[in-house]
Amino acid sequence: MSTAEIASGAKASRTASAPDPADDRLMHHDYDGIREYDNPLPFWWKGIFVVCIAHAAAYLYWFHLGGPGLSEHEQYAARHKEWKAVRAAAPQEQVTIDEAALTALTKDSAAVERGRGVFLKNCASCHTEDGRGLVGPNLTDRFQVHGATRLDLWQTIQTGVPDKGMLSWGPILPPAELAAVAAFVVTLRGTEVAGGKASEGHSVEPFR
Amino acid sequence: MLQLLDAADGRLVGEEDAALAVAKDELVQAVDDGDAVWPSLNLAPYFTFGRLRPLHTNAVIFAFAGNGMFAAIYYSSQRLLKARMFSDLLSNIHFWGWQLIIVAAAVTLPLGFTQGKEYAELEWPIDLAITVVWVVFAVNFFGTLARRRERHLYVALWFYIATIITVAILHIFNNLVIPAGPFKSYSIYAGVQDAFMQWWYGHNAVAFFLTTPFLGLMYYFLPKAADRPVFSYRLSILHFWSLVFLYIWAGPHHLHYTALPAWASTLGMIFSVMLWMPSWGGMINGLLTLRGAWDKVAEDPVLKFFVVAITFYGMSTFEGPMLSVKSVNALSHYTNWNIAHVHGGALGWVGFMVFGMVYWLVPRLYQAPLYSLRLASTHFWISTIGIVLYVVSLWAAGITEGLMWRAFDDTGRLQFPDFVETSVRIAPMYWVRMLGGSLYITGTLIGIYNVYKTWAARPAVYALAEVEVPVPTWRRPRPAASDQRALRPEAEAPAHWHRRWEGLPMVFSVLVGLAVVVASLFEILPTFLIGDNVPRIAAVRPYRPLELYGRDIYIREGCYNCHSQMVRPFVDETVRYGEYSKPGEFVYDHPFQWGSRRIGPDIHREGGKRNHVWHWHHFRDPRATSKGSVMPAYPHLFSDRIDWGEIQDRVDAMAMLGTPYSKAALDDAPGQARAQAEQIAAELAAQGGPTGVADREVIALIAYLQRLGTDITQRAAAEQAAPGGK
Repeated sequence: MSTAEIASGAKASRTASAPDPADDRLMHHDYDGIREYDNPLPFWWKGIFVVCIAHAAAYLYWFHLGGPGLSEHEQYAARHKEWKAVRAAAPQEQVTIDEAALTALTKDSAAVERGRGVFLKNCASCHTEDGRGLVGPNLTDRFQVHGATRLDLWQTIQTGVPDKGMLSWGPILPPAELAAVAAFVVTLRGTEVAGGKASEGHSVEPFR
Repeated sequence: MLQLLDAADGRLVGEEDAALAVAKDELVQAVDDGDAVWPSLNLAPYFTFGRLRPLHTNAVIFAFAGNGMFAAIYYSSQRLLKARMFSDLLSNIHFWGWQLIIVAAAVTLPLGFTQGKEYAELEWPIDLAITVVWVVFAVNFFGTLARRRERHLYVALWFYIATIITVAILHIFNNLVIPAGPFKSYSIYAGVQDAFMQWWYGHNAVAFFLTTPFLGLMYYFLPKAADRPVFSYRLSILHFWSLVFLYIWAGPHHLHYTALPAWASTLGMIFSVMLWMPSWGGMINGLLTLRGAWDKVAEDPVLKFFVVAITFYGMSTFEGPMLSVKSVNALSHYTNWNIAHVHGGALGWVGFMVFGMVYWLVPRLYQAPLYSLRLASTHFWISTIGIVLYVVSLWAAGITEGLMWRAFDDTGRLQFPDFVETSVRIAPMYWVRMLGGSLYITGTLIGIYNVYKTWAARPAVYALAEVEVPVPTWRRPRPAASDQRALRPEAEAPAHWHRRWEGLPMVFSVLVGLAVVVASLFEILPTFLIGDNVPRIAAVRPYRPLELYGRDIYIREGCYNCHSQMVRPFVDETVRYGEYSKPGEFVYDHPFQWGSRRIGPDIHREGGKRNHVWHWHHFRDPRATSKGSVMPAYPHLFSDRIDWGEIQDRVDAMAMLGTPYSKAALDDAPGQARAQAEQIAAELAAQGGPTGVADREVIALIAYLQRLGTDITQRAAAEQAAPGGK
């Protein structure tokens, strides 16, 4: 052990299991001035290496060679079942929506405002922010593609129109948000925003 | 015997070149970062993220790390072997050939010529050039070994041998392709097998391009700079062999929970965990070599860079095994956590090892004292702080993304169903990352300036160094027994069993090759031979000609850099994206496009989710349909026309790979493609889109996207329509 080593505090960091200075045995060879000690491997290094190797064997047995570990797909099936149970048990899933409830909601300015927020975030990409239509149909004219009532609008949002590329929002949006956005869309009909997309579907009366 | 060694030997491969490469690379990264923050930066198709990101990764690996590695090997090998390089001509061919390859990469990648596999993007003519240059390098290196004057090989050389052999094997077997044009090819492997080969290559590029040569560099330059003996010879032996043997198995940890068979992914994981200590063996041997030299670390910039580099090596090689544990990987995969991990390795380990080496070499090569110690110290601190900011911000971003993607509320709904919400949330972290990257490049520029000023102060005539070299007595006829002891001083000590191999470079190289090949075959053969690994799905059919052409556009634009095509068997993913991906769905995917990163959402189940008009508007202006999206616009897809003449060649190349195309497709692929394009254009018009656009590239891309992941769901629909009529 050199004096420089002691002076720099290297000795202080040594633990009891660290190699004895006597082990700092220089090898006889020399490569371009580089010498080598032949110190023993640190105990903790060997220990962790052995544990990692043991872990490999245990893991192989547990998941692949007859152990009780579930396969990735079995794990998925179990988790999917749990998730379905959570979905079924969710209290707000049992909310009933009908024409009267939706009509009441369109009169609730707070609900409509909430619906506008949901619309801007999720619907504006296809129907534009003011509902004049782009990828999806114009929501501000006096036409409707699917059905005619408020409940039909809600139903369209709920189940989507896969053939036309409209997503099914039922599994994505919570029921309260779904109802709010339906209420907001109800308020759009007949506002006839300028520059709207050409009308599609059949002619309907504006909601009152 | 005295031998003059030209001090210029080590100058063959320009160190400045590596420094310039990092500067160029940081610029690419800066543009990339900017892309994420300001998508509107895309001024031309050549500079979209999907094309620049491969340029960035290739530049880091092959230009920066490659040139740094070559400089280290050329300089240290000649001194360790006490012999001039085998051939100066080969050295020059190697140097200039490699720089030409880098130029070729910088030109072809922005043009969209790509094989679509990470770090193996370069197209087949460039791959051939790489092979030739690598063989030149290998001949030059092994030729030098053969004429060495030092009998035994020092540990640095073991690592160089492992690098040269393994990189050759990896490069060749992952780049086997069938050309379909001068700059277009299809991987001979498909789907699961292609993914497996790619990550066997990809992970071992990390191992044998970014790790082993730099460990060799460390073993030469660190004890030199510290002027201390290496801590432990027997640790060198153990960690070298365990590293070489174990690393090869680890590749499949890039494919956890994908359609890769679970046993392969398990091997990837357990071997990665076993790799932890062999990696740390290198770190220990580096740091403990500094025992008694820590006072020098405070003053010498070379040692400062080395200490931080080795510390980052230790951190990355702990983080790697941790990320390879399946349950951690479930969170970290596809997120910025991986990006943080690789930058700790690239900026910290590789970058700082190279900088340390450059600061050690430059005063010696140019025989002038370093221009400024203070600037070197400034470089060190600025870049260190830069790395820390870079890595920590991306850790935060990655964990944030991972947690947001999987978050359910208490009713079982995704808490963040809109993917864009998760990418907007991490934007502040990108700013910190950009700051960190800017600091790092600032430090690098200071370093380049320091090197330049040192070079400028070089003497008019270099002094020739006189070096004493050993007499290669062991090449002469065996001396009499009585003399043997005197000529081989190491015989005084009990000879180590490994010592014998160190005197037999060819045997040593063959053993390294065996370790690598045997480990590879254990994994590769079952993946290819066991039929169960990829159960066929009858409903999965080859891509129609237009869809194939659209897929090629997808590859050209580098969409896989941001979008995965692999829904993992997790509830949050199946709720968000749809049914999880099955191995049999990818049997016609030459190459696979599973991706490794989700800057945007997974799109394996994109087919049929949205209508053509949505895609049309989305490619024209992603923000029009997805507010806050960071995807670039693709205006050229709307102006560029489909090259109908190309389509037949592509279909024929795929048929050559065994894709069962019908006779009609083989006879008239362009005709089939045109018919499908007309149909999609008509549907687009019916949905309120534009008319008369059947010949635009975007139509082919839409055709591909609408096909993606639909084969198995269409089968399910057909079965529902006709129960029992399978």
